[in-house]
Amino acid sequence: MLPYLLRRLLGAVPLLIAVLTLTFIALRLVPGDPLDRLADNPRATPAMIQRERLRLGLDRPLPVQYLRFLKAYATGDLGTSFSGRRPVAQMIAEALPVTLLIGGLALIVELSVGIALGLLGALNRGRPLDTALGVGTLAVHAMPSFWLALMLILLLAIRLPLFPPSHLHAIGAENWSAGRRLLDLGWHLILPVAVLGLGSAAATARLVRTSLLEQLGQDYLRTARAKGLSERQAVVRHGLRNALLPVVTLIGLSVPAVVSGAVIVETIFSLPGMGRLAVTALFARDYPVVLATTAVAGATVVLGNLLADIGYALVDPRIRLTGRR
Amino acid sequence: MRLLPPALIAATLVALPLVGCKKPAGDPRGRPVVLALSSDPDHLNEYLDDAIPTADVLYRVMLHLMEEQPDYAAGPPVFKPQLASSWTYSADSLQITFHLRDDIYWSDGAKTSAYDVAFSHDAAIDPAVGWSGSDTKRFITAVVPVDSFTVRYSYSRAYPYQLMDANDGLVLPAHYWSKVPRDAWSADTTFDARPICNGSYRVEQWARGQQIILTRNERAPADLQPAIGRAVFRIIPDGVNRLNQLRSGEVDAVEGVPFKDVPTLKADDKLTIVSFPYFGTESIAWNNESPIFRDVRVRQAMALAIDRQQLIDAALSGFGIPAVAPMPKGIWTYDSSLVAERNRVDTVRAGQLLDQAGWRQGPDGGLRRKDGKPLEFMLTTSSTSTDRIQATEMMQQMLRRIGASAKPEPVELQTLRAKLRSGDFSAAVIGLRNATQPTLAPAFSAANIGAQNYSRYRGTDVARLDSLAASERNLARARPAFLDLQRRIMADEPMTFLYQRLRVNGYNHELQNVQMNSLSFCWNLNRWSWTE
Repeated sequence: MLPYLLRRLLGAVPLLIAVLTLTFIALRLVPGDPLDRLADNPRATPAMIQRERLRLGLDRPLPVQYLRFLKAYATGDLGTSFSGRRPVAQMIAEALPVTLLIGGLALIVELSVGIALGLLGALNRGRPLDTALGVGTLAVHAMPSFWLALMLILLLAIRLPLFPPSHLHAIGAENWSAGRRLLDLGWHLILPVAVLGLGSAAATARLVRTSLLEQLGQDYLRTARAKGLSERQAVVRHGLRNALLPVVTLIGLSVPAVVSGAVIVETIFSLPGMGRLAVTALFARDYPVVLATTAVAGATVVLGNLLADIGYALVDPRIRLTGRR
Repeated sequence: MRLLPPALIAATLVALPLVGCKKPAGDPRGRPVVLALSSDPDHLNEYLDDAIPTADVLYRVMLHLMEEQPDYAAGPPVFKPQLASSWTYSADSLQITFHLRDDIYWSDGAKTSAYDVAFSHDAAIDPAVGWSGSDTKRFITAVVPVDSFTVRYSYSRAYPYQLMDANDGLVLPAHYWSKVPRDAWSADTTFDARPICNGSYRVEQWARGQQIILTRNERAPADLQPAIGRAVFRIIPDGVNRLNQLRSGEVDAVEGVPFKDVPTLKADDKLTIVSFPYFGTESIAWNNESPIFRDVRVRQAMALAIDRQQLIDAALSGFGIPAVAPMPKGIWTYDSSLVAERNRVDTVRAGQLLDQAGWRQGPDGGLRRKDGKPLEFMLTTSSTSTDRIQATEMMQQMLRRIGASAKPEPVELQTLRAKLRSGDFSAAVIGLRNATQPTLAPAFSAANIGAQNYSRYRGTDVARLDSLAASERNLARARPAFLDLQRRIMADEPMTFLYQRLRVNGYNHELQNVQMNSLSFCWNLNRWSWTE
């Protein structure tokens, strides 16, 4: 498996360079200029703006800027943010853990709730519970995340103050013990993780239900039942495992979203993650930050696909990761 | 694998809220005040980051030479002692000597001295630092420490805003920043982690993107000590959530309340709502180089068709004041007689002007035409401002009455800026931030076409006249000079000024001595206190 993984990772390098090159070109093609942010500043004179242009190297020809960018990336230098004037690597290092935490927990919610509900629906096909689950999951899936987030805040944080409306910690938490801070963090993450996880869980539940229903009529399940396994054992041990193959694909597609962040949820809940970083940078035409967040997103797409391939092999032993046809 | 029993999950959910609380009640340091910020600073160094939220925080923890008072209506602002206890002008006014207090300590124990002041000026004008306000120092030729607590500023000319230009930019701790190469300042992370402060507060903790906690600076002299020992700036980017948290008591002060929410907040007896004119003007920039608007009569006709009060009442829920000239209300160069003179709707006169310009209406009314071409154009604006879009749509109707078709074109903010810079637009509804130091050159000087002269106006010798007015030390002569220049420009109608927004802020009614103004919503934070 190791040579396969190495080959896949090496193959990703030209792909990432291509993605970054296209992003570099696209950023220069869209209207706007990184120094336009100074246009609203009554103290910034045209002379000052020109000095800033020289300092940032934006006066250089595009091919020169591109080569400098590639050279910097080759040495691991992600550059300095034009608007924030901070090392981009530092900004990513601050935003990524927040996004991974929220996105990772949301993925766990998505899978656990989604698979459980899908299983329940399939096992109760045609019964009122199945209908209720179908309507419920459809309704949750159809809700825009910003609306769901604002409603949850209004109901569960403002009207009925059970959960905090924003942030990762309460005011004063900096003086608390590590254990209490951890609990406080968990308390703060419940609403954003619920918003992110439940919407996706609804989609997963519908996928699992459909996939499992296909499996329930298969011969191998009939054989399993004939061997004396209970219905529950047959479905959970054999049927569910096969039904999860499409879910593995879904996980592969979800990994980039986990890392790229969810800008709406991050903004509403005041969480400084990758989504907010990327979108803010894009609106400010902060080229170094946009390129770095694109690089991270591109790398996770590759990683997500790789994880999905490994997941296929784990779920279905007939699939081998040789990379040969 | 055994799963957690539902009862345990339920118990955890019930217990979790108990670990935190809205505010640390019983905090031995007293009840903190919590202020909402829409965005986080990037640096705690004004020369690297001079965004408004950054200044809101930094000006509480670091000192200027003087404290600028938010009164611009009578003349240049008054300054009160802060780091400098007094200052004297030389006979020719080309030098100002500041006498500093000798009891101001940095939070690491060093004294704030004249060397810090001179060092900060040097950094302010260094291109390697790249401070956006560096050109405010262009008339300052030297800043020299006379002794540890005396510093002398020399100027190339005498003008009314010498104090303001000296005061712009905070005083930095030279003993820290002199050890960091100037071109590496932005990469420095140590200062942001443990900032050295000399203001009423010091930074206790900065969790990026989350909150900045300020605590009383015990080294500050008694007269600078804050009444409230702790101030927490919570970063809340979402406007709806900011208001929700103000109403629920999670935060105590919020700036920029949307106008539509003001009646609800005013009805809440736990809140105090204040409003004041914002130093910014909404206007239409006519592209003076476009085929339609290169004719001054067309621009004048458009202006006469617009009902400013109707825009204010509908788009701003009444929270605005009509604007007809570049200088906003609240600045000493503002002239209320201009409003009475120019704030009028006269569609008949507008029609006559368009007729004279060759844009004639057919017998059926409808769109005017000239050389077979209809009088239609795009009215471009930013898609981020809902009230500006609403105003644009209303103006579409108003202009229709004089036979002009203006099609609203909301675009992304950066796209709008690119269009303005390149001249790729016919007319644009924009908001301009006004400097508190009056100047007309940036927006109207021909040299600034492609920069902040969005209307691409070339008439009147703006740069020279503006410079003359700005250098006049006698305000009784300077004011008429500025008024005359405004009249000359407005006669050409390169832009049509629409209105000045009001800024609406809200705060907890238990707070007292709160003074919010155009400089900052927490301008006098160190004097805020809780009612008993």
